[in-house]
Amino acid sequence: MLSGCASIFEGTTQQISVRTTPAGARCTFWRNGGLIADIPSTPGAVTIEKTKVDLFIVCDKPGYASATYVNRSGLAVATYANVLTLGLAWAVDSSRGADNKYEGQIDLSLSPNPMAVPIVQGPPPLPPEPVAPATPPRTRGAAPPPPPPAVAIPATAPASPQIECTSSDGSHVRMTGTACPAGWARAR
Amino acid sequence: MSLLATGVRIVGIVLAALLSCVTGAAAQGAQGSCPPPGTIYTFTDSSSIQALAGAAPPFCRFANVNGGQQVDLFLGAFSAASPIVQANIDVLTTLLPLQVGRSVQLARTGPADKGWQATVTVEKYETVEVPVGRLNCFVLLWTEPSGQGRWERRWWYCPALQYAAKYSARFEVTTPSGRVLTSSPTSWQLAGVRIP
Repeated sequence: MLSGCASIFEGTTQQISVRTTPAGARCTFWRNGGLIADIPSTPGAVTIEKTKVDLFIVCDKPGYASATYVNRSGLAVATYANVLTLGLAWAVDSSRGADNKYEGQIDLSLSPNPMAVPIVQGPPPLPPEPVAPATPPRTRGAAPPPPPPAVAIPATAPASPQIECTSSDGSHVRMTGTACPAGWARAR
Repeated sequence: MSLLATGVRIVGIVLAALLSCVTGAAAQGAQGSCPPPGTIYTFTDSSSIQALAGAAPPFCRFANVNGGQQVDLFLGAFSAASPIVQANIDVLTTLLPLQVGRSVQLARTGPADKGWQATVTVEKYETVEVPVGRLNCFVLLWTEPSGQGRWERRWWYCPALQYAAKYSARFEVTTPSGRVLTSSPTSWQLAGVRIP
């Protein structure tokens, strides 16, 4: 999760702190296609100039998939939010009235993945430029403090049988439960 | 005569099947069409969500199983908490019933450099293979300019599931040197369905 209130704003520069799990990752900061700063080993912090341009932060650690984070200027949100944080981050930021600043504290989780291969399209001979991973980073957007859940969600669900269900549109899904939901029929 | 009757019957069956398809496509867009409360979807990025009751149509409510955060989503994709969704929900709902080729423009006003635009298009209808099986889904494409580049986000919204079985994000940016960088930082697929 991102901590939305940890930024240190001084004039035209801003400090950005990065923590990763596990620690010890190298993080590079890219803007306009150019490398502007780096943290040799997390946790660490850099001071960068505030602009209206999105900031790419790429963290690498051997044996782990790269984690890429886009720090959007002004909006100051993680655009790599998954579906559960999409919009929540925007709402939070909007209420803060952010302008020309980046998220100041970034936490990234690195997924073990020794086979991670970056996806890059374009002419290959050029010098290295920011590259994002092919595998999803564990980034979560700047979600607000979680409200208490409306329902009790069991940490571990009891074991249930797996059943094959088909729907009228031809979809076929393996589900866990004792009966297919409405609109689905047990596959034979 | 018998042949004629058989032919008429076949035509009738075909028409009924076609009608059924049309009805099915429209039915998925019916408001209040949400997964049964208690249904848990698990994804390849290790996240899980649980369907909850209580969302105001056209949204469906979910809770993050790990963190407890709640989110109301339209078509399993668009959060009610997002300002641009809030400002354009009437426009978004014109996508219903989902039909390939439909497209809407979303905009949110703001200071000159903080305006926000996005386009949502029903790109195609296709069968998608995910870890839990095979689903027929509409591909909802969200495109959004960002800085020097643009985002493409795709949700494979499956009417039978009343949620998305797959998601991918792609960011494309052209550097000052003219090089086009493409990253696909986030994606997930449906890995488990638990029925209440």
